[in-house]
Amino acid sequence: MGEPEPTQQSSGSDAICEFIGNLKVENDNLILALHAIENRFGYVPRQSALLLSKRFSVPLARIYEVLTFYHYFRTTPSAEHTLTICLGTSCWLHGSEKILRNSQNLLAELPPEERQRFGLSEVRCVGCCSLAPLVFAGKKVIGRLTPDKMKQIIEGLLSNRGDIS
Amino acid sequence: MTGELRVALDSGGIAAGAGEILEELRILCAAYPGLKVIAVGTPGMCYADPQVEVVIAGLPQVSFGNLTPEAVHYIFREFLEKKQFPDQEFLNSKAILIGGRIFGQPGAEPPQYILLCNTQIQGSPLPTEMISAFAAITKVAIADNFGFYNQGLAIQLFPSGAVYANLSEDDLLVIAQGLSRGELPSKKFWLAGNGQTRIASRNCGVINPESLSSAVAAGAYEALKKALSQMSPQQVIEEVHQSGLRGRGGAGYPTGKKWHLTALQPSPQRYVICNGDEGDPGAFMDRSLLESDPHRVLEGLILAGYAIGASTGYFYIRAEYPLAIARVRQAVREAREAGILGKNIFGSNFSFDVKIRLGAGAYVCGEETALIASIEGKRGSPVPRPPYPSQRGLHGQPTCINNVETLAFIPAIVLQGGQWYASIGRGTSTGTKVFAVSGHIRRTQLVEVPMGTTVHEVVFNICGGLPPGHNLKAVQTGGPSGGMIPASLLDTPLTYEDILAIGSIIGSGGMVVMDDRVNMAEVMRFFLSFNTDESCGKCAPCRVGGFQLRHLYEELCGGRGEQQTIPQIERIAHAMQAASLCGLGKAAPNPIFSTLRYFREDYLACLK
Ligand SMILES: Cc1cc2nc3c(=O)[nH]c(=O)nc-3n(C[C@H](O)[C@H](O)[C@H](O)COP(=O)(O)O)c2cc1C
Ligand code: SF4
Ligand code: FES
Repeated sequence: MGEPEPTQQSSGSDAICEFIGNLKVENDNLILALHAIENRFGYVPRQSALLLSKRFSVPLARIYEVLTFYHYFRTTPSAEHTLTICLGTSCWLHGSEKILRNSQNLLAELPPEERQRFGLSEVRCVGCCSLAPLVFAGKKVIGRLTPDKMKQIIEGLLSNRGDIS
Repeated sequence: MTGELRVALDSGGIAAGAGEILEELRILCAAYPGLKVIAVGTPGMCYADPQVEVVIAGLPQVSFGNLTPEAVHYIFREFLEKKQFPDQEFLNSKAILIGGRIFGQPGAEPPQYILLCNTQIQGSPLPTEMISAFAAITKVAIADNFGFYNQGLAIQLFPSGAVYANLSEDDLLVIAQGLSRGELPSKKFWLAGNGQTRIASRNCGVINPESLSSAVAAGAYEALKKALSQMSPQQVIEEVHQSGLRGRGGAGYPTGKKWHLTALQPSPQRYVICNGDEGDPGAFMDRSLLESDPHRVLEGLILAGYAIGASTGYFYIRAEYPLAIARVRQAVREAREAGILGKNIFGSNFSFDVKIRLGAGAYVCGEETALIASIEGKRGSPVPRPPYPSQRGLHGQPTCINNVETLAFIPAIVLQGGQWYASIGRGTSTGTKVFAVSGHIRRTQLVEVPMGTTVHEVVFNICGGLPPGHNLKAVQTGGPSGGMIPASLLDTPLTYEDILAIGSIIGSGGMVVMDDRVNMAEVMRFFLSFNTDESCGKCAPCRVGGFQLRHLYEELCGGRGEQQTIPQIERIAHAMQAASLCGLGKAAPNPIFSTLRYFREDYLACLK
């Protein structure tokens, strides 16, 4: 809602130049600029950081200092399928650490080219604890997870079946 | 048919499928122009998502939860169109019916609808002859719950909505006989409420959070009008001071005092900030308030700006809450268009506008000095206080930072007076507090209770205790900075002092229930992984101490602990508490001390 969907296609340098050129943020707000870039490209490309450094007149190191501090920003393109497992207290109590470990093992068994299609990460509570334990598959929340359900989700994504519910 | 159907579309509801339910209802209602389907925020009963509340003339005001599109069709046909309760078989398996949504006065008229419920936590289902005794009188159904527990058998009559509780089976039969002769139940069983008092969350689940007119119809901006036309900024501060309101973000600092100190600073520019970073895992009070009633929080922020003499306010909201961000943006936009933000608000001399800033996944940014750095576009590293933000804050100017919930109380305090607010609660913990109860609990939900309510009342009498099969071991409050309340101390009242005295804190309001399968050393291992991930790394006690502790807990829980491990943990924890720069490092040892105090046997079990 409100936020543009990340698109992966046009992350060529022209697109980045154009996007940064048109970016409307106040000068005190590097973080909003980074959010806009992350939303647009799915990560913060190095070239965009260079352009920001010119735009805000601050050294590139300052941009990276901020960029790397915040968990939310990525410096490499996100994988085709992102799976973000909640490790907040309620989800943890309902077994999310085990689900995370199972998923890591499951992905580790895949051939490298398949493995690369997945990005597995963690988040600390998104405030929907009544659905614990939960995972974000892209932007879709899937709650009341079990290790089996998680396995099905991964297998579904592998065979490119969209029906992950 | 006239009335409305309120579908809970907060992010929890949406994740559970409420969007689909809304669509189904819109299609079904197309044939009834008097019937409105509105998207509201959460009414608090997150466990029941997706859910809808029926507010239709001539029908009992109840909620249906755990819905599917098929269930919605059935409910629409039976309940809305045929005006009878859905079949009991359906209610036992396909959806739940929740009574006690309103608590009416005992009326004089004979009931047209009756709801029954056994509110005992381990209570058995009501015997069938009981149901038939009422079925002979009028339409009857058994509700899944009435929003409260441990008060015997209960009955709710409609249209009055009056609830009678603490009934035995015999009492119920007497009531049935009475009703069949046209006599209402004895008033001695009448119940005025369910133990909750809603002030901050009053409109949550009632209004459409994406509509200014819906908020205004429910009283939004009345307080702002009153303040701007009848009160000086000092008078507003005085009311807040008298209310005894203390910051709900965790530290419990008196809000009136903070405002007074910020207003005192000689400076042409001051700022107010709403802290919506809500990083404590297991807490969702602020998300719920921002998603369900953003105008209330905005009004609180504008009033804070007026009181301390600021012309600019900020919302700082964590990026993990995209819906809260979108709804606050929408609220700000509408308020600006309506002249509630901007120059000369409501024709007064006061001008004020707000900006929205996003977090980016750093728990420490909830700490006020880190938050300011983050708004300034920097890394969120805390700096030593003093100077406090009230002296030197954002852009070096005096700044007042308040939590979302703190601000949500301000309109009611301005409107109804500080004295009124102070009359609720207990001792120096005045008013109400919103808690988010989750973990091993039957009903994960949001509750708002007067301060001084006991932990037991919240966990058992409101949230229904634990799912069958296990007993309560501890209730964790204050997130990774808080502590454990063991089962033996559940009668402790929820006040700042009482909870502190038993080694925990009220914190921001997360309450995580843990059952007897949980080992507390394991919980600490988990918390330390949280704290080390979130440490900003600026000071050594937290950066290094945290990692050492995490390592020791990993050893301990991995069965590699030694006799020395526990004393070592205690030593490092003390050093970390004493020497860390900000609240994150200072408070991270709290749950260590608390678990060692109450659950040392769990540690020893790891050593065996
Ligand atoms: C590590 C850390 C995290 C915090 N996180 C939050 C938070 O998420 N939300 C919040 O309102 N206050 C948080 N606080 C407390 C704030 O620093 C500050 O006290 C509070 O926002 C003041 O508002 P109040 O007086 O209305 O409570 C945090 C403090 C620390 C030390
Ligand atoms: S205590 Fe921890 S989080 Fe706080 S400033 Fe020090 S290192 Fe950073
Ligand atoms: S702990 Fe996972 S959503 Fe709150």
